[in-house]
Amino acid sequence: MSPEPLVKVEGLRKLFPVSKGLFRRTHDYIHAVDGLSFEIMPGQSLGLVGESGCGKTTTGKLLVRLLDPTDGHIHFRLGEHIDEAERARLGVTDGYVDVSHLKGKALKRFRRNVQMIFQDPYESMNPRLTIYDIVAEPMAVQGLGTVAEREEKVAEMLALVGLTPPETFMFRYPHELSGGQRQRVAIARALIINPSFVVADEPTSMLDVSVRTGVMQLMQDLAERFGISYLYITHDLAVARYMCDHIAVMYLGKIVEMAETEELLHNPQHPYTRALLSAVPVPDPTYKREVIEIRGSVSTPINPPPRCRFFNRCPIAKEGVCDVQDHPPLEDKGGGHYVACYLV
Amino acid sequence: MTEPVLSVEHVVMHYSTRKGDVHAVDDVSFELRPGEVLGVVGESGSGKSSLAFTLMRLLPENAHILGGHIRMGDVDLLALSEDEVRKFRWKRIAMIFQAAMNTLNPVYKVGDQIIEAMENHGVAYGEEARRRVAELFEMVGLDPALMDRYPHEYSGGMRQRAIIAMALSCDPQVLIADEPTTALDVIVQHRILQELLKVQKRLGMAMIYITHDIAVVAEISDRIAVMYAGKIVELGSAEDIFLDPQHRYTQALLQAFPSIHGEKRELITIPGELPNLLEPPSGCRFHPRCPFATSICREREPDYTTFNPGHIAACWHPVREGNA
Repeated sequence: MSPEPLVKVEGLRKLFPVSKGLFRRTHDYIHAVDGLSFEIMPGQSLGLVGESGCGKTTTGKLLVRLLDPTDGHIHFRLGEHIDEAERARLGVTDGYVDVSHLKGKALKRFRRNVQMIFQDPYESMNPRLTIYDIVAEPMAVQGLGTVAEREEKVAEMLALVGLTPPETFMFRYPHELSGGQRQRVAIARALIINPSFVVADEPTSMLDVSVRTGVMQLMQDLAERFGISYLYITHDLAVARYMCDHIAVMYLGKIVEMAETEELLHNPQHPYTRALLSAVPVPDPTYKREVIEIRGSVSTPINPPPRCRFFNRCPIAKEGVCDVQDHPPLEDKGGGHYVACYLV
Repeated sequence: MTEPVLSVEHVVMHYSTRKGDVHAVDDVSFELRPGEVLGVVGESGSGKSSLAFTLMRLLPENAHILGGHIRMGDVDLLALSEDEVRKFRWKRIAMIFQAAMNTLNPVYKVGDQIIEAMENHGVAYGEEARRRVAELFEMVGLDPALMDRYPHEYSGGMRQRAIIAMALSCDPQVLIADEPTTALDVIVQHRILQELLKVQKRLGMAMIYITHDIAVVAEISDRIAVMYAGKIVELGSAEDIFLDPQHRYTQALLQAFPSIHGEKRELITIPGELPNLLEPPSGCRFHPRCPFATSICREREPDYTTFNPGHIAACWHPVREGNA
């Protein structure tokens, strides 16, 4: 029997109102995330890639419920270690809890299972807290452990992320650490309450190459060791190749293509994916690429018209096909390679 | 061989801070040939941007140039007075900055800002300047009608193009581009790079392209200088650097860099952290992180060795020696 997915997302939407005029009335909505459906298997990582403004960060925030979805469902499978009473409290059916509209205590308890790592290690930590306080915070918020237990756990986590010996780091402040060390602290903080799912939003994009590889390696080792699944948000396809089992490409709030990583990189089907891949620079001066040009630039999806979102930039768009019906559905074109295009 | 347009000889620049001197640029030498693109690649604190600002003589007050020469023709830029440099800067050597968003003044029309730059340098005036700006806009792929718009009406990519147009407005011989595409999405980045190269070739200008992204450097450079902790550790043609790297840092950097092309090979982590330039490591500055380091690397600074004509590296245990 194949394992059940850890996360099942169905028709996830998030609209942001655009207020204008004297009475701040809302006429328009930005369709930041518009009908996403995907699954993440336990221990596997899904890469969410796309250009700025495509909705990838919004998606990540929705999954950990830092934002409330406008519509849709996020079914989350709870680990074996969650007992019956807890399951009843969260309202579990068939092993899944729909976390899309959890509130109050239930939401807080759900958050024991999910964590987020942010892009900027300089902005995501309170500069007045010591490293100990920062890493112990999720335990404190969830009311887990005694002070002595927390201290022991923090030391263990710091050693695990390579900040050794832990005693020399515990009572320092974020500004005393380098960017790479801070991102290791952020990883320690995210993993201290044993989440099964972590949303990592560009966790390495601010790090230098020589430091970045170490952090990528660490995230992979820990995922393997603790069976963690990542939703790995990045604009860098080369990094996604190393961090993710599957990649989903987003464009203006929609997933346009999703497949196993190497399949997506070597056999891209959607014209947007092709253009995106062809623009990625390759660290080899002898490599001559074939460039696929697309027109214009990314716009903001305010009240998008009912047609393919990529229509006005698409090099292969057909009038009368792509502009007369709503955005194409994401369909399996064989072997789990999903494409949302009428012409593929 | 043709005369270099720019020749940098043993330039040393430190910043003085409360904590001591930051050794930002330490004995850097290279030549820039007419019409070539020299990629300068390095991580944070490698001194690549400091080098650019030294070349432009656009340094903050706590920066001290402690030695060296920057020659263009028979002029030594480091020997000029502030007034003399002002006439030189932008006309002979121009720069595109990293923070493109902040380079344009938000309360003036973009075209007017470029015209003003040209008038200040006596390049062109009034209607003629306007005509030139229109030409430049076309060259960098902007609609000349955008001249009469304000910066906030531009997208990130358009602003970066306008900045390129501005840097070119006084017809410099040398253009320094400091991470001009870092904040842009890859499709826009690709387009701007192509545009920049096209203009550079057409004007026969030499360019120094500074970036942390070795993939970008591979795409656009004729020659590449690899910087680490204020020094150029290796210099050679793009093929030399990527196919036959000799410095252990260059080798490590290439092995740590992911690519979407070709076989998925294992990425190799470089241990340790970037050095603190207040107290740079003794000997070879990469030695604390280098798996091949021996006692000589700790004790003595390596000199440059020539591996191919024009391919030099300063390493006690270059790759050619093998991994013993």
